[in-house]
Amino acid sequence: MKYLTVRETAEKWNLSVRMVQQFCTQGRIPGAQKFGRSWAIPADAGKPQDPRLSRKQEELPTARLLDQTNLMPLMNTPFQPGQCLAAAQAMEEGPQRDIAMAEFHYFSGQPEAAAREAEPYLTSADMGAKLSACLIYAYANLSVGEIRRAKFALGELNAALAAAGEQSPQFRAASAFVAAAGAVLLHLPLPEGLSDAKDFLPLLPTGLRAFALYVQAHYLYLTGSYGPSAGTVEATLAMGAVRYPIPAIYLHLVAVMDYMSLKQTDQAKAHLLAAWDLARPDDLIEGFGEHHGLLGGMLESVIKPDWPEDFKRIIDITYRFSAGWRRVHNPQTGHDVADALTTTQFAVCMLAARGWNNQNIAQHLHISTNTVKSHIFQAMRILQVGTRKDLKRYMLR
Amino acid sequence: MERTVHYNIEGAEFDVPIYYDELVRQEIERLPDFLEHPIHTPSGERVMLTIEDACENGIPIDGEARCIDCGSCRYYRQTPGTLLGVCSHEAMRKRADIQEMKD
Repeated sequence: MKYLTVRETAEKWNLSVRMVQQFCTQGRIPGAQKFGRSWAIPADAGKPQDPRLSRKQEELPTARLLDQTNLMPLMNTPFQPGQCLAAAQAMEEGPQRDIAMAEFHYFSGQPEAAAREAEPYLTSADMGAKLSACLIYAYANLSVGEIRRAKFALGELNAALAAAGEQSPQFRAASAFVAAAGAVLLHLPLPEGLSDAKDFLPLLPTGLRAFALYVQAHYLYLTGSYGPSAGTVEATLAMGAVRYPIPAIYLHLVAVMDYMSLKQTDQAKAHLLAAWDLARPDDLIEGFGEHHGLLGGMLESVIKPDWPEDFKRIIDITYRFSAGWRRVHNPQTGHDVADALTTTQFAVCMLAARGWNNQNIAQHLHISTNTVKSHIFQAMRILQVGTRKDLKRYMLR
Repeated sequence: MERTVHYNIEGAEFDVPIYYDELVRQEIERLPDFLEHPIHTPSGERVMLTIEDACENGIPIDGEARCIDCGSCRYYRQTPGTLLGVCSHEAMRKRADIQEMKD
């Protein structure tokens, strides 16, 4: 691949050297690499959009180019479990099918393929395809360790949101939807200029609205509002979201998080099994790996005994995803989320932090009380905390 | 030769073996079960893990709503720099000590 210097790129794009350097630092140029104090920029890299200029570009036809049928089409499609790939392949050839295939590969734990399929649409004039590609590309690259690329795509989502102010309501809704999904699921602060959910939810098609409500429920969970979060999930599912397997899986998973926090393990188990019934026929296991740490040991308790091979693959996804997640989350929030704990140590410590005693944790996870104590002891040594109170403060901040 | 960590908890001295767990890629202390195999200090008080589930004798320290483990109990003294400590409740004293006290 041919590379250009910052100065050469600045001349090519008719920008200042400083502006190009800023784009590099912000990770907004895919493939740009730092060597010492200078940057090497791929010669074929596209010029990032400057959000400061976007409001002056009302006359540009971006609003007209928003095709909602290309906005996360697979997420917005009802299909019978087992028919996910067929549903994607049945879509119209072009951006819609390409994005749907990227979605299928992402949600089935194949991030390399998903990133590859999303990449051509990162700079697409079709905003539905572009926003979808950015969201998929950001998350897929977290899992493959390409953090600069993930940050670039997240930056593009925020730029689209900043540019959406003067655009059509549908465009604003689409931008708010993907920007909120990008931020909340990474536990990052909500982007500036994000509308209230009630403003953009009615403008989204049914499947995307269901996923947006999952994002809303996840946000409520993060603020400790477990009851309202669970209520949001139950209402969304009752209103037909269950027909859309991808959002339904994620809704069920956030319900597991809520009910485990409320110590209502039977409801949590019922939601986990409902998610598993939807996911397993199509191997849509990515969400289980992404949410592992918040599921209160439910995967160890329910999935591991009956589906050990699937459980191993989920744990592989957890390690891969969470390594990338921390590299974006920790620097941005300043919170040093534990990165040295194993998935089992993390699950045990989350339960201990929520007030479960060793015996209850042991029964829940089908392990001995001594093993529980050993996991907590080891984790507390790694985290350098001396009491359960400190452990709680660390795990639940 | 087996590697160990040496502990001195208020005069109770013992070694805890360490092993390397390939699965988690960490050195792990193979802790004794302090409930099954009690260890006592020279004054007869029982060595406990800070994270041991609270027993029926537990009373929460100030500021704690309930006693969930030894670390949240007012009878427990944690040894600085460790996750071990000593229970000062009379019921947990070494039996011989209790017998001597009765005599």
